[in-house]
Amino acid sequence: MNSFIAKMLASGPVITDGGWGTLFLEMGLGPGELGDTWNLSHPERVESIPRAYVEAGSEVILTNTFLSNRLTLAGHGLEGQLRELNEAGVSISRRAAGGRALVFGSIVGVIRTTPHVWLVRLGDAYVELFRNIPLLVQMFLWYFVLPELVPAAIGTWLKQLHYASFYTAVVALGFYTSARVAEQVRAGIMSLAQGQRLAALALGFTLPQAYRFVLLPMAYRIILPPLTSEFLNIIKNSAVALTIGLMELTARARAMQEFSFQVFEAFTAATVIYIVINIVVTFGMRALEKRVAVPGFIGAAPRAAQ
Amino acid sequence: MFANFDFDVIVRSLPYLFLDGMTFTLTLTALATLGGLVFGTLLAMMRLSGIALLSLPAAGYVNLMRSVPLVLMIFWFYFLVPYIGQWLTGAERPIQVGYFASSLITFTLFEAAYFCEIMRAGIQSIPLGHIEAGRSCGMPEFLILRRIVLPQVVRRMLPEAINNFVSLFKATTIVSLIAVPDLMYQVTMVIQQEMKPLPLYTSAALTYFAVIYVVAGLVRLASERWRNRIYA
Repeated sequence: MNSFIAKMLASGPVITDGGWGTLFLEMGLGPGELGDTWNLSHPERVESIPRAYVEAGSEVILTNTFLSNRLTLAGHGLEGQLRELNEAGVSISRRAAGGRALVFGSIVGVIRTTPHVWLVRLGDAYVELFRNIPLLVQMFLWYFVLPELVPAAIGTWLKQLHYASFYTAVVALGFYTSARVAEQVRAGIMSLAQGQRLAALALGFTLPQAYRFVLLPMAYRIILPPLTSEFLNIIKNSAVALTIGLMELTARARAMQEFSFQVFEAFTAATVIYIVINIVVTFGMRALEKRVAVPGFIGAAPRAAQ
Repeated sequence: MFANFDFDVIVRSLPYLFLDGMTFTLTLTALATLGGLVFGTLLAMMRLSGIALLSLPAAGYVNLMRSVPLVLMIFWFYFLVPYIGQWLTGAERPIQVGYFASSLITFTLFEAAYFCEIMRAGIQSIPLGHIEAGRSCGMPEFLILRRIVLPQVVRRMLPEAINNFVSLFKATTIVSLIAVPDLMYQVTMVIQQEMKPLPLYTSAALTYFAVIYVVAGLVRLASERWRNRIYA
């Protein structure tokens, strides 16, 4: 990360989120008054601060946006000015830095309001679609309906594919489970303190970097227990694939029973095998949890929200 | 892409599919939920009783039910229930119970395991201090249960329980495997006659999606309100 920051600094002063509350108090900010509103009411006073920093040779310049987030602004009845305040704060610091700065930073409120709204909606639609249709119906859709929808040549190729039911089952189970895992990852990230995201962005990580290096490593650790039960679910759900002719464990037990008429022996064998797989997976995941645990952190943290 | 999408076949088979099939699916889901709730409460009481003779079998039952796929359970009970009936009534031959009773028993027993866990989590989430506070105010035990414990347990359980109801609704599609005439089975039958999987499977998927989307949305709304009322 040091080389990353060095690279950023090489191309000019870096602007990140921050605030100058104490300096404002000296300049006459009233008690209880929100310093961020000065971006609009007293831009010249605000600008004098970063300018002084730049003149003194500082290479990391803050913006006066530390409290310009939804929660704080709502407390002052200013949530409508979220965007305005953030934009004004950044442009003031930018002017002070001579307009040649790279802006990185936690204009979090803005990020979470406009640019990503369609991404968020797309994700919601994906989750709702795959979560709300029964797995059996999804299997049938992939197996029987998909070949009819694609051009005839591909459809024929799909139908004649050797082992087609196996691939269909993998795809169907994959999509079905991905929607559920998506919900858990979201819950995991939401359960992290908001400060972690802010800190990452203030340090100059880009949003993808913040996710890759800060948020996801913690979120995945937090959601390991629910992921374990999702893992167990996918094993159980794989039995549904017998409806599209895949000879998995339950289908084999059923075939055994049909050939030999030994109903209870066949089903008992399958049941025991499922239980053994369950135990192995449960213990394996517990060992993994222990291995990746962050000392003094996850053990004390409550389990992720459902 | 949708050139061969035949809407007519949906219209023609509508009463057959949605009246018969959907009614059956909903009846099965509702009855199994009720049965699961009763039996699940019993299991939760057994698990929380602190008496090993009661709690160990209940725990074993719950873990067994939760580690075996529903499909396998359906096959198990499809073959097992007639013999259990014979054993219970002392009849000479295995008793034929029919597809409805067989699938209802399976789902009830299966649901009971899940409800037991939901109930247990709900009861265990109540801090002991609440009960002690009630006692120190001089409330009788029954009043503590009714005014302090149960309102919180129900609120905490309700979203989970309704989620469970939704997954049960989805899971009932599996009974079509043992030729139970639920919505999915009816769809498959019509497809075998008409040879038109595209419109029929798609409309079945849309139906399930619509029902579940609406129910799940209501659940989310309700659970948010409840949560706000707890901490209000």
